[in-house]
Amino acid sequence: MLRKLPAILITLLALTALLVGCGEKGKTQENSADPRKAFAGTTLKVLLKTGYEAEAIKQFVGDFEQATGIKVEYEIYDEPTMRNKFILDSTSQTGAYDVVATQFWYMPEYLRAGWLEPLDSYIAEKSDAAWSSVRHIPQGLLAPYKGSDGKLYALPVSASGGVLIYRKDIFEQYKIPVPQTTEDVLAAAKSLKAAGVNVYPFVGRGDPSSASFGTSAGWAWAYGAKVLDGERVTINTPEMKHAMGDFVQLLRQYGPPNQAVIGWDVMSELFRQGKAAMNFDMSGFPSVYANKEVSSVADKIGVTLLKGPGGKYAQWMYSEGLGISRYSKNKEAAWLFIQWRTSLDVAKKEFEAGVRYDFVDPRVYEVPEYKEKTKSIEFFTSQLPEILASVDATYWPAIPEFEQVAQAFQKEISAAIAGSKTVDQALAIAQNEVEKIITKK
Amino acid sequence: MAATNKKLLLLLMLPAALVFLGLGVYPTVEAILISLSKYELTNPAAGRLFVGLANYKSMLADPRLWAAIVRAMWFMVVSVGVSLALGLLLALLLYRVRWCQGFFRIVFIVPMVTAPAVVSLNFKFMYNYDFGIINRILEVLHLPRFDFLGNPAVTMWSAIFVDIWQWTPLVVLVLLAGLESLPKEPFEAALIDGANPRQIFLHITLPMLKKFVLVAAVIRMMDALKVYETIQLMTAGGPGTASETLNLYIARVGFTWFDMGYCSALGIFTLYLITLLAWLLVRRTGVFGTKGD
Amino acid sequence: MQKAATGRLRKKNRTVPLAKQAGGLLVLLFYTVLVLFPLFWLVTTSFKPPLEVFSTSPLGFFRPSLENYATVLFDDTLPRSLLNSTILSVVTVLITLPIGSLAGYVFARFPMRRKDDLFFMALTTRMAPPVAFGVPFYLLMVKFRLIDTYTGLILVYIFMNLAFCIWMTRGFFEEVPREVEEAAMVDGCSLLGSFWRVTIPLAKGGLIATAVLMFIFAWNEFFFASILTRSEVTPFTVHLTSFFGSRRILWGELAAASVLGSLVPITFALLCRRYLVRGLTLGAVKGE
Repeated sequence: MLRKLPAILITLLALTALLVGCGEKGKTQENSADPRKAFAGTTLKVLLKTGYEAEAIKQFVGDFEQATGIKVEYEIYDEPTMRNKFILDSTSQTGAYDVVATQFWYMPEYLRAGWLEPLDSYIAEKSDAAWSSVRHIPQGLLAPYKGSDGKLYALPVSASGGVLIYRKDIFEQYKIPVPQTTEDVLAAAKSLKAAGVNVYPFVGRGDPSSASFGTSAGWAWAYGAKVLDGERVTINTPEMKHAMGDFVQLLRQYGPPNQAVIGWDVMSELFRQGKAAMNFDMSGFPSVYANKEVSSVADKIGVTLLKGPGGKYAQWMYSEGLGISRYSKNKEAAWLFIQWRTSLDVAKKEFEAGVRYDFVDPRVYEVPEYKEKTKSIEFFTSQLPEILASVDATYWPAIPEFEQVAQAFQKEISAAIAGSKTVDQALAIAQNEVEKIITKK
Repeated sequence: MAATNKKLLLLLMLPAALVFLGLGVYPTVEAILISLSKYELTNPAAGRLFVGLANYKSMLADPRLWAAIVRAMWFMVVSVGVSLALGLLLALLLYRVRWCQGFFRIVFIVPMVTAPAVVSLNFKFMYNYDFGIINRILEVLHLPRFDFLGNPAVTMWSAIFVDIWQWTPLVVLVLLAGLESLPKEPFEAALIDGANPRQIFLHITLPMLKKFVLVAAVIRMMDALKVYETIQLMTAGGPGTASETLNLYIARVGFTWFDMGYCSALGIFTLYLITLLAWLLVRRTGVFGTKGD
Repeated sequence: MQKAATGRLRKKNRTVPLAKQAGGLLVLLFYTVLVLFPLFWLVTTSFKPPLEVFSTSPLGFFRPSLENYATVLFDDTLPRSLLNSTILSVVTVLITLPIGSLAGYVFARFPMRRKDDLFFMALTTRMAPPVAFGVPFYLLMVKFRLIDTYTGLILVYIFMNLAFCIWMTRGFFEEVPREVEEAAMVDGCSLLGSFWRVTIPLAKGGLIATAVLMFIFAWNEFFFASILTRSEVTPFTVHLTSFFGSRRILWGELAAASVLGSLVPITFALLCRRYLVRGLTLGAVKGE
């Protein structure tokens, strides 16, 4: 028996090889029929940030898996953790992630380090006819994702401007006019508090993270104040003092007691539970607040744009995209995935399911079902064009060191909101620290 | 015989020596070299640039670093002090109730061996302003809600409390072992001489427990200085930098800003500090029997 | 000898008035409640259905549900991360214990120059905060392509635990009387033979305890795991941070995962509690 063993083994091996070979042949025959199935059997690892951009993937990824035979494993983390993981992965060149969510404010950092795969050749040669949407997206929204070489490095998924979301019912009850300016917001908050309203007049982001920098910096632009003017640090300026003075007062006196540690997730939770009368944040939030499944104030909200003493709109510029990691081992499969995610098909499913109503692909707004579905929130969707038009990117510090600068600034503002220092002290310290960061560059 | 023994000895030590050489000496040398360079992982194109002692000089001009060190010291002093005092009291009480000691011993083990990550996240929830159980209890008692993690004046205390909660049981068990090992004669003699309980405690119990108190103190101090995820997962160093201890700051420099050069310098500086402290604590007090062994 | 002393002291106890004893007991119980409450809270949260977790109603009763456990066991990668924790901890111990105990034996039996200084330097791994070693190890693992591999993290854990292992086993071996070993060698055993057949069995308890403690250290570790793993090898402690979900922190599920992951170290620690205090105080206190 033992002597026959080699022969048996060889036969087994040959049989296996035959079966596998046949299987493969079968597969390739199938594949040539459907280009989407070209990568069937691959597993894609997708790194996402919490938020409504990830929701669509969570809910509809099954469609993609069915259509392509690709298995998708996604990981969702809060922003700092997600960025950390991406950087650690890229610096170790492990290629643990194929697709990664790219917040626009980290793009300068990622682009300088060269961690994303340029997409131009994929767009030109490997576009999926039905899913591809990139040629419809306005140039302005693609701009943050382009490198200095003019190549596109990520596809935008969401874009937003800054809006004030307020409780229509409360404003009507207390007969307060809808705010149009930053001063109006403060006046409204004061009136509400004086009238003894049982919710927080205002809620915003007060925690020291770089994500919350968006609120402070956006608010400041209404006053004509910004953090960086070219290479010059313009934090300790009269405009900024005015802007942050108002902002800190708004959050400190009219926001929840623990406002200084509230980030966007808790802020959203509070507003959705009806605990606040006003919220200044991204134009992505009305979609969430108007969603009956997660919000108890879905039919009670209004949206408006704000202008400030500087004659400019208060901003909340944000955009998130999806990119392919340079070290991914499944780049073409990843490309298929991000096309799917940014396709009109998925957008339709998103608004049908009430996940969100603001999109970067203008074709969505023309879809009849969209108009039908958004009848109830027309107050918001009708303003979308104006909101996107109000976006003014000049105030944004689009540099690779964004993370450090934003944190240096925001932690001081957060401390001022908490009351451990005055606004003047906070701005002086921030000016100093940001100058150090810029000179160290 | 002696010769083969010596060879054998060296052979037995070899694997351990290799580990220390490969994973200890080599990375340390690398760390020193990197600390003398400007090396940012987020800027791979710039590569590594030799800058001499620039990183160390930055440390001197970095107020955030020194604030973090002060916070770490403060954390250690309070946490160790309170857990020692509390531990002593509890050990004395526990000593008196010999009959149910077993139960307490088992209970005390659990906080010590639960992962700090678990403990930290659990307390994060308990401390939560809106949904945390502590605030809910306060509400029931008609007391105002308290912002444990969001109020910068209080955050460190909230974190210190967690550390005390987790490690006081160890102090109790150590001091209990100490109490149980004390010889009976001095106590009996004192009782015969008519000493009252307070005198006995101050002049006999405490001095005889000195060794155990020292051990508990040294171990607690070392562990309190190592604290990282307990605070990081609960507050991320916030609000602002209110709870940013040295370890959190080092982690931020290295793994949020990816400034490898500066982080290496900080790491070496920390190792130096710890070694100095450890030498003082361990060698001078001889708690681990290393004094003139 | 100790027992006699404490026995005599017990007589002293009977002269303590019952009231005082009761007072002390009360304090102890109060403290025990303080110790147990967070753990109790963790466990009850794990059994709460998602909506109940957020209820702001005070201490209400809730309908216990296994939903969270079901989610974390079937809809999540927790089982994988628990497996990772197991592999990391077990392999670390299996490699560190032999290396460490051999060296510990040498330290125990043979006089050496400057052995305390040598030892003291190695003790730094027990005393220094892991973050101080963060950058060197990260870059080392990147260079050798050991990121997100069991090997990489295990090597770090071996390094961090070896000094502890040597120190503890040294202590346990010193307690084994030389005469027994010498008797074995007289009977024809070689040095290693007597080590294997005589010393180790006699020090068995201590060796097991050392192993268990190292297992617990590795199981509970967070920092190195967070920087050296990505998705393949992530242990359960780091996995806990993934419960900061899309709209809210999934406290219920986090609690369930925490409970599941804590069962292992708690069980092991309870099984070897005889040596726990000794291990945690680096042998300075032979608690019982």
